[in-house]
Amino acid sequence: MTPSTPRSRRHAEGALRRALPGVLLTLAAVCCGAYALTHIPERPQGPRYVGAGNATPRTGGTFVFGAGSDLHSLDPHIAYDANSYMAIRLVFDGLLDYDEQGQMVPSLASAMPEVSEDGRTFTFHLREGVLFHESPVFDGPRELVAEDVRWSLERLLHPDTGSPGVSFFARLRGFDDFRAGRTPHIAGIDVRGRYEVAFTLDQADQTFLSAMAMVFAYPVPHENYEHHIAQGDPGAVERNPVGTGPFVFEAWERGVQLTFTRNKRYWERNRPNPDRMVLIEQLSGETAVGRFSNGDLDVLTSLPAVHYLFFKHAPAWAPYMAEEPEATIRGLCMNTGMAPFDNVHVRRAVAAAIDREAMRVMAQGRALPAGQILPPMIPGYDPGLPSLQRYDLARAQEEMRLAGYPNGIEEPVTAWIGEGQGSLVAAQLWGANLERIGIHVEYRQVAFSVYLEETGKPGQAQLFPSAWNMDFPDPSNFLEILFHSQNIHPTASENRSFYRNPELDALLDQARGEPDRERRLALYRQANDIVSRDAPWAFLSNDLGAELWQPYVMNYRPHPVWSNDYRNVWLDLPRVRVADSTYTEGATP
Amino acid sequence: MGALLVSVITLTGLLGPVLAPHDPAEQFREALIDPDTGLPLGPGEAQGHLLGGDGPLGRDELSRLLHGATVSMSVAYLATGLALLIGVAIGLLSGYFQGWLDLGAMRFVDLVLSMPFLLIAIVLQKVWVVEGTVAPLLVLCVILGGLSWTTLARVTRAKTMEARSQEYVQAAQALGVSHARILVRHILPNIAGPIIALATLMVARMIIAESALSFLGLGVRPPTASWGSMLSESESLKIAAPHLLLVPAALIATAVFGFNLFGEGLRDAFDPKE
Repeated sequence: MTPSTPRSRRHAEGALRRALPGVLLTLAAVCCGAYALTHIPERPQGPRYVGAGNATPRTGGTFVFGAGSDLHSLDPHIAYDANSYMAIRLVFDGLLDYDEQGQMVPSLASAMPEVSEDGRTFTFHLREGVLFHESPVFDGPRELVAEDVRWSLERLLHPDTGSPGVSFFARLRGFDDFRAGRTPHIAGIDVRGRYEVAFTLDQADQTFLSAMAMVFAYPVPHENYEHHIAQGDPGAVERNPVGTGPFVFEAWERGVQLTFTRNKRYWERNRPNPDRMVLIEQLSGETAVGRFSNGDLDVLTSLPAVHYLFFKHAPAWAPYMAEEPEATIRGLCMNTGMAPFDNVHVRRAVAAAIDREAMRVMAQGRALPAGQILPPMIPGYDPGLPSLQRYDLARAQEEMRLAGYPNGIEEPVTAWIGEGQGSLVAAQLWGANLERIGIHVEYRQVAFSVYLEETGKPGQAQLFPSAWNMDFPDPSNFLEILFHSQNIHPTASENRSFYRNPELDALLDQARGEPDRERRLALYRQANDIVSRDAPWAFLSNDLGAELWQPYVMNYRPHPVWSNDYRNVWLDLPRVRVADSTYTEGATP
Repeated sequence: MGALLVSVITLTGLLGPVLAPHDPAEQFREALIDPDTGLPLGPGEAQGHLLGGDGPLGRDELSRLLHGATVSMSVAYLATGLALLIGVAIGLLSGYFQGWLDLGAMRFVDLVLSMPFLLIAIVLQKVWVVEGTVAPLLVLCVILGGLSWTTLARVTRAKTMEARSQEYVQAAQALGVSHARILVRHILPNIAGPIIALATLMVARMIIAESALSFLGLGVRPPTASWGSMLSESESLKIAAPHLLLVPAALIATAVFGFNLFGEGLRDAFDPKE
């Protein structure tokens, strides 16, 4: 800048000169953005790799899968979440399991147990020659025996273990004495031989076998627990599982991945399986999709909306994609102990006010409209239920009038919702629906752990979206656990609508002991009807799960009971790279 | 150019609610959502909605942008105003009286500077907004303004100290003019230039900070829209509908650019060296 320049021009020049880099940068950024948008690299329309085409199952290879978050624990007595079960189900077996049709079948038991006349004694015979995995905690090969079944259940039910699965076994004879420390053993567990164990209940209970098929009841070797106690770190057992399952636990790099190797001594001989399994933690969303599209991940289970639409409309992926309804019910839980939801008409109004079809559209069809607590695949589901739980604005307004609020409720209702943009968007959808019948909703978004804790306390949360994923395919696991008044506690209630109905309680108690299947289901249908009518929840949707797997992953279909269960897959190796041009000719997305 | 951008954007902020064709919270699901995909229709694809829908809820994007402008602008201006009030007051007093007052005030500035902004924002947001006692917009202004006045205080103090030793102040003191009058009538007008320039730059910073907080879910409460919250709401749709991300982002960038340009122009204009 020369000193002779007039001040005003100098000034303008200075401003311009300072602004110039900014202007140029902005221009460059805009150009780059526009270029990136118009030149997004075409994503391959189909799989990158296919299998070699082996028709006969074969052993070998590495199978890579992912969990959406961190795993909680590998101790079957402690873990109670789908992610942990992905790993536990590889390492452990149960006495009972479910086949691909969801039917209960024997696994470590050599046959289905014998049930006594009164329905109170169950005798299991174990498969002989089943070995636990090789481990330094054993002196040599270690066979699974009936004593292990007893030890495992007693550890599960011991108060010091702090297992969340205790209540499923509460009808075992001597349960209370054992829990109170009055007896060293549970009177109702009787080891009758090396391979025979019998369970006796105080009352007939049709859900006992379902409980025995839960992960909580998987037998574990006492040596592993004793070893870690002797080492002074009893908690280490959660990171060092030893079981009888098809895969041996190898290592767990916390927050990163878990690895497993094939169990060469597995009791089911000649079983084709990958040599290694790798479970990557915290893998979801875009990252998972990217890895899967590149062929670095063998299965894909959580699909963001846009990617779901892509895969759904890509014909090359169609043979490797499954969309199946899951046994999950989602709804709006109303606290029946708090105004205004202590009024049944308000609850019915809410149940009729929510546009389930709009929710289905918003979820790209992955939220199947529901009108009752039981998902369609659960016995007791009633397709003909004359449900009040259906979108009908006129009836919702009529119910508001019956409730004494013809002009709406003045006091706003507080809805507790979990973290994340998704739950907020969904909440605004039903929130707008409730607004139309004069219920004003204010959202209170909290961390998921806070949400879980606070909604489990009576008199705390008025209204909140809720979802229930079954433990086992039986109507009791929906109706009894969510609506029986025995499941109301000062904290951590399972019955989070705090619904109390002696008539329903009696029905559910009777159904649990009823040995005749048809009569039992009739009782549950009756209970289902009561719950739909009294509307402690507005039942909204069942999930439609979407999963994809690579073409070289064989023998995989989504399991009706276990989610993400890969213990039966084998890999069609060697995998072959597909030319990128294969899908572009004539392929219409 | 900066002044032009600033006035256009401020005007948009003022007139946003008047110009907006629809209620920003109203959901037009039939008109704005593709029933097959559940995704919003884009610009020009829906009649009567110039920019299409805003996301899975099907609200009018244009109306939300306009209302968002009002929210973003008013938060930025109010927060800056608050910062000006605190910063100038503290700066004037400590620069003029010096001594213990100055020492204390400046240590207080250091203290505020050492506070982790985001942590405090989260705590205050949780305590006030989640407990539902204070309006969320007000909280946002208080958080932003209450934690960003420190630079203003320091600059004001330095300028005040400079002005204090000038003859006109000494003359006023000699005439027995009260301290308050000296501060307000003699010193403040003479140091206003750099403060105004700084405050203008600060508006730009506030726009960014508001967007950041709203993006993190610590800003406005739904269904209220601000540019930042619109960014965070459309993040998951970035592949299907990139314009939902780009338009608010471009608006934020333009506003910040405009305020920076304007602020720098002012600074140059007030710079005695020029």
